[in-house]
Amino acid sequence: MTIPNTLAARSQILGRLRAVPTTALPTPSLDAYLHGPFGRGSVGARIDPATLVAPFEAAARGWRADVLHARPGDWPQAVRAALDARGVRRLVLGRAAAARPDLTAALQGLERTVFDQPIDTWKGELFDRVDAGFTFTEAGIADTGTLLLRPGADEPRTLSLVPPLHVALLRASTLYAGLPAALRALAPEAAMPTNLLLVTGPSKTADIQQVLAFGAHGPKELVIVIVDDQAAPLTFAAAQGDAA
Amino acid sequence: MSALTHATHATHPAAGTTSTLHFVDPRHFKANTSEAVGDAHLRASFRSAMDFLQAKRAGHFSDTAAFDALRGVGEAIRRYSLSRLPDLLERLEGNLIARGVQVHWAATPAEANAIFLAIARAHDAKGMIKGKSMVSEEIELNHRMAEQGVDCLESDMGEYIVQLAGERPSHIIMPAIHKTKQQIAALFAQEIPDTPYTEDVDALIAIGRRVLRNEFRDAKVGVSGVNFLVAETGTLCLVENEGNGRMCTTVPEVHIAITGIEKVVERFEHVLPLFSLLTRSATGQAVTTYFNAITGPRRPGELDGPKEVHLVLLDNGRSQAWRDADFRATLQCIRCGACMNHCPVYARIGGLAYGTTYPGPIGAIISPHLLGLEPTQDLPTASSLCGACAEVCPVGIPIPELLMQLRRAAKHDPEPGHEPLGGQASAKDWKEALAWKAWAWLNEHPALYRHAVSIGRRLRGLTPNWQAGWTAHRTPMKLAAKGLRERLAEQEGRRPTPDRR
Repeated sequence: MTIPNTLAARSQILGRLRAVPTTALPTPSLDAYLHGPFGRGSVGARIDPATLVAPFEAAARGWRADVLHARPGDWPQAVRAALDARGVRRLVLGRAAAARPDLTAALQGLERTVFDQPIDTWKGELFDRVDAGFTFTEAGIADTGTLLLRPGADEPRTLSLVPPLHVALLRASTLYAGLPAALRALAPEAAMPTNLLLVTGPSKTADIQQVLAFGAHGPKELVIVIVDDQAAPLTFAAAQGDAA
Repeated sequence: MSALTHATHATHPAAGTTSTLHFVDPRHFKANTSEAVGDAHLRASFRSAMDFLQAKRAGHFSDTAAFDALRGVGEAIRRYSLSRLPDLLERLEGNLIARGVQVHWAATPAEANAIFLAIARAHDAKGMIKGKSMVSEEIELNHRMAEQGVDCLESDMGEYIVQLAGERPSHIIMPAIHKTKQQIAALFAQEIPDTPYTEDVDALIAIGRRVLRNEFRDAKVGVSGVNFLVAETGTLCLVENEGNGRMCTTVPEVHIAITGIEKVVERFEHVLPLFSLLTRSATGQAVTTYFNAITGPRRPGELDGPKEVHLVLLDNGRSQAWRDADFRATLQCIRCGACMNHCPVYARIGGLAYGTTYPGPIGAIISPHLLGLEPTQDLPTASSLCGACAEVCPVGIPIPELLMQLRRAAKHDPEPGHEPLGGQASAKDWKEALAWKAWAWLNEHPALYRHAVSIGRRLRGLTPNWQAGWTAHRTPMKLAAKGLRERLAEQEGRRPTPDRR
């Protein structure tokens, strides 16, 4: 069976739309949004990320994410501590993370899987055997406690989706006040990745009598390790999603 | 709900076929309404849910000036996008194809279903796993695929519950809002093997998670809706809390997205204010757990994501609304559900009574374009025109005005400059028209009017309980024993003033 040719429907629909003379309206101004409370930090000088760490943490905790703090030299140990505190035995990493000797040293003794094969070849294992996934993040949004991820070849999309625990590393220097501030700075639309993702807290639902329950289909828990890299910027050369 | 007994199989006018629809027919709206208002249990469920959602939204928009400013931007973006709709659709298509997405066009639900079926067959898929999509409800995808031996499984928790119960969603954002946890507990215990009865919500969600996780892992085809389409980048944006939308669009080898042609915006930055408005208006959240922007299938070197992505663009009556300068505003909708959450009619009758995919005020103004005015003619009358829907609409749709226009369109031929809608004037009734004409004539003749009223008063004891169409859904009309003028005069202790004509 072949997929139907829908060009007839296409010309029917576009024909119906084109048959009515219409004047295109002028391009809308976003100023009222960008200058308003929902667009904080998107206009003018960048808000100092150091002032955004506390608001980010408060907002993220509000969505029931756990937030830990680390320094550029000891974040791998902080990640290990977060995993140990939750009894994680099997961890999956992207190639970017696996390429860091400091992280792999800190993870000694855990069963580690590097996500370097297509998901199709090990889907069952990913779904049924892995306890946690680790990812870097591209940016954080303080007003809503949101992480911006740009998954790709070195950090596949399912790393932050399938394992019941997601541990994410966020550099304090990549904090922005609001969503438009982050997206205007990073301008992903210039070269849209296959997947651009905003994550705020663990997966949740209120579909039963409006009672909020966590761990619907995605991670049941989200742990964010914030690295204070203001003095000495931390770069992840191998991370595809690295904005630096 | 106690069971709306008037579920029937109706002819779908937009499809041009005699295919049966499995939803409750909007023709039975009035009967459904009588049944629903008598259901104390349903009334209580909806009342508490609506109060909850109203309060949550209000918490975010307590600064009305800030809301108005944001709404102004959202409305301008939607109006701008619609003003360029055919251009944006072609640009979107070009950019999607350039990134490897297969684009399909469907004028009718039947055409859309044929596309789904062909893709499933091409992959030898016996089933599909679905994220939440009201457009898929609109085309009755699950039923159509089941007829062809392809099982569609809903994975949004609310949709999963509703599907397991053999029901339909009663709200566009919270599909199972009409069900209590006791009902869901009983449903799970009965329908899911090895499941004990539990009313613990966390435990119930864990049961749904366990069942659906296996399905995400094994499904070949994932289906989703789309919240926003970005023409400039060829991007599909999905907004959700559960992660099932990400599962359906990431794990299976094939992803099929379906959406209405009106969802396209020009630029990625246009999505941001709409996203801000959507989550706050819908569930009173500053942001959802996930905002998932998808641009094309898995690229070389990537290790997950679907290998094939399809987008089905559905018209199904939207172009009719678009062609009319006034009705075009209907298509500004971003499907937040705030209008139903604030509607005094929806709160009292619930979503199922409407008998349409989209209930509440937005349903009353969109359904006549999707299904024609003949079966939907009663829906625009289900409003006190209180204006709450327009007040909370995040994109400024003048819902009360459109309800009035649809009421006129149901009863009258089009006004100059307007094309007839499907089912235009289908509610026209010569007896009613004649009655109004006579009434107008009587009012223009004061002496006769007084005479008629005075006779009527004397005979009011004989007023029949059956008054043609009027009493089918209303109490009989009966003249008052005394007119307003007389009663006012009595209160003021004077004689009634004569008519001044």
